[in-house]
Amino acid sequence: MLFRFFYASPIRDTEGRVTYVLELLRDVTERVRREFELKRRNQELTLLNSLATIINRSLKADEVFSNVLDKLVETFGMDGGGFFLLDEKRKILECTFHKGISEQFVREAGRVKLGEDIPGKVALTGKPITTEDVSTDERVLRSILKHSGIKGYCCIPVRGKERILGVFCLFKFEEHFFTEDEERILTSVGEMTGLALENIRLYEGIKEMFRSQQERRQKEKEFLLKLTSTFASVEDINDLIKEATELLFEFVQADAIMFWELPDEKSLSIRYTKGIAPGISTISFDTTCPEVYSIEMKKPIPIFDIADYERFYFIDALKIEGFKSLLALPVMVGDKVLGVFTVAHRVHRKYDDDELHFLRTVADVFGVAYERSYLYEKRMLEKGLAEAILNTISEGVCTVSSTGRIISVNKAVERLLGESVVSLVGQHYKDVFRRFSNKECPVGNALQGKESEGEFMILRDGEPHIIKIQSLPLIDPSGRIYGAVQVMRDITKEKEIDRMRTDLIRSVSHEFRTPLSAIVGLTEMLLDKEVQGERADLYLKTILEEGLRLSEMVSDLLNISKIESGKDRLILTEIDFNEIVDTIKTLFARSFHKKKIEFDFKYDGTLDGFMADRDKLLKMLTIIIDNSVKYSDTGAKISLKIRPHEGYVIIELSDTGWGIPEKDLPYIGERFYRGRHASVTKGTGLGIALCKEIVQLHGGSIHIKSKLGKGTTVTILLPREVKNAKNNGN
Amino acid sequence: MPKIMVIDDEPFILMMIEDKLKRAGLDVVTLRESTRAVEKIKQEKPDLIILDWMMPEISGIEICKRIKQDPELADIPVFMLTAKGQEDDEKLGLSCGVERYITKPFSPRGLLELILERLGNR
Repeated sequence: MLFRFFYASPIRDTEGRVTYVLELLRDVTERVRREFELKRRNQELTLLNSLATIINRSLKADEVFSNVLDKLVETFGMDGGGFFLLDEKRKILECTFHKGISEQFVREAGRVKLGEDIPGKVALTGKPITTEDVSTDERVLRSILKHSGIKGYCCIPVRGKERILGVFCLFKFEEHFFTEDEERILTSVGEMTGLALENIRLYEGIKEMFRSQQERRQKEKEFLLKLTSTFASVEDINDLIKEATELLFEFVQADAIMFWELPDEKSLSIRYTKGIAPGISTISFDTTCPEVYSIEMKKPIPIFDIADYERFYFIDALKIEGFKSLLALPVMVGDKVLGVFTVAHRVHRKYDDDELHFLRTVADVFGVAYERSYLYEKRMLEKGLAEAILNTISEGVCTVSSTGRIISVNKAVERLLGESVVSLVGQHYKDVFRRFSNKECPVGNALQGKESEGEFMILRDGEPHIIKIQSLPLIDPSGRIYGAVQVMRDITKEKEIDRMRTDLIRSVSHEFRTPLSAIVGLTEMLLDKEVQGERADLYLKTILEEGLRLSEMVSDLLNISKIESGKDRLILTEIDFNEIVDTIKTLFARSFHKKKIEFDFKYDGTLDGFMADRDKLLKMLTIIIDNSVKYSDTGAKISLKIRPHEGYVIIELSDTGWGIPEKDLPYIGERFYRGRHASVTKGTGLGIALCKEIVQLHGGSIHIKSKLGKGTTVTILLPREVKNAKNNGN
Repeated sequence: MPKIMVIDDEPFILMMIEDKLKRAGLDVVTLRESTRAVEKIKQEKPDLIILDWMMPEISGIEICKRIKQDPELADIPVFMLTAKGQEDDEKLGLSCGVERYITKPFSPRGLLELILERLGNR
């Protein structure tokens, strides 16, 4: 084409007449072409610009597709179009948005395999295809479009950064020739749409990820809250383990869960299970299994497919029951492993890092609660034990704080003071002490750091008791006195025994002095030749008598103490009372004869098989008969009756002697006690005391009845079945 | 001749002391029944009394107290001759007016010496 630019201008003379015309011609072809080009460029840019605006304005794929198609259809004078998106996995293009075609046609043509038909080829090659008339285009042999009435057609790839995301197509029911320029613009649109689509997908992906993460965080937060509130309300360690395991089971939607404890450094021991019967109760540390491995590594060990891990040992139940995946989750406090969870799923369960991290936190929270509960339980156990020990000992134990408040008392204190434990705790020791004594309490000294003790008399149930209190300061390692502990003991009995011992020594020394006086004094007189003849004989006789009395006292005392100390055992033999009485008659023959005593013995002989200690019985009878003889006038009657009565053997000795004054009766049987008649008879004051011991050793009792001037009756009851219990086995 | 009165419930003690003192030329009165002691003392008016502590009915201590309370008898020195050998006993005895506390067993010779010494200081 040739463009000319014509320019004519008249040239005038001085009078103003046109003398000639100047004509200028210019070839403007190039200019016109450039101007056209510029205009087209402008149009293109305007289009692309408006498309870019459309695309960037929305973050919704459908909106973008719809707006882009509208604009393109309008700009290019098309009848319709559509977007096909590529499903990379299935290698299928699917029409996700269309315009200007029937739904039915979309159903037929809306799904294209990658590489097939025009969209398939474009998606595969990444090159656009345009055709003036698709129905007659020889390049297209088989296409559903051939008989659809569509003629002008283009299919452009929608290209992302690195891959084809899909295609879009425009069509016209008339022939349409797509110029190179048009094709170029449409390709640009494809790229723009591709990028936008990618952005949208990225955005949606992030949004989805963010949403799911937020959902997860929320879930985790709720779970932790539930966990901690549960742990806070549970004290019993068994409940704690149960709650924790159940919660974890629910949270990870496990099919089975087990919690193993570490009772020692050698094995794991099952403590709680759900959804599985493990079949074993311990796993040795030598076993290569996820549980032990997780403890060694001190981190959770997830196993996606247990079939893949041949080097690990899995408990049989897991394999047999068809579990697919597993998580070994160690429970730790700091660096110390307390136990491990085995979480099992019947599906291949994947744990991502976030989840593992969270589960570790859960395990940590549980670990702290577990340790706390364990220590609590241990402390309670120890406290219980300490309390049990304190309550079983007979000594009262009482602790006071540094301010003097009573912190604890054991049962024995209650017994000793006769006040209840509950009422004592919390009171100030001074207030309590003041009620019993106005002496200074040793607690005060102990709180000053000085060990201290004291004895106090208190009245309990109207009876005086002597309580000994020992106070010790309680001092912590830094030397601070934080309280005092008191040990209390009722020493009433000890004091009594002590007094008795002193009394005994006193009386022994006293009683020994009189016969000794005879021996020492009379011998001195004899040596000094103060007496001669018959008088001297009397002296010697007295010395002998007193010497014998002394020796009798010594042997009686020894007998008593032997029985008392429990060293003397009964030697049980069948008793023949006839034989014993014969022996007595022989022993007393001279005394009876001298005092003209009538001795009568009654025994019905029905006591066959009665077992007792013969020698002791004889000694006892000798003592009481000797007393009867001693404390009787000439011609008295002594009768001994032996008979069975119910479960007892009754030995009854009566005499017609002087009788015992009423005043003396209660003291008969006390060691060295000699009644009014002592002044006229010789005795040790130990006879009846020894009889008492012998009778008690047999499990029997002795009763004395007497009337002054009439006589005395001693009744001894011995059980028919003498049990050697008192001394047996001791 | 100084008169010594001996009160004890043990016959051989009385016999022994009586023999010893009589041979030393002293006048001796003995008594076994404590109940009659004060009455007998008043009657006999001895120069010195030897008294046992542990006697039935009335104890030597009681008798000593009665003597010391009786202005008529209070000046008579009392020697306690007893088997009670504890320190406390001696203190108690001395506090009741006993002049000498002699524990059994004793030497008759030594007793005589003490008596003579006391009588010589009169």
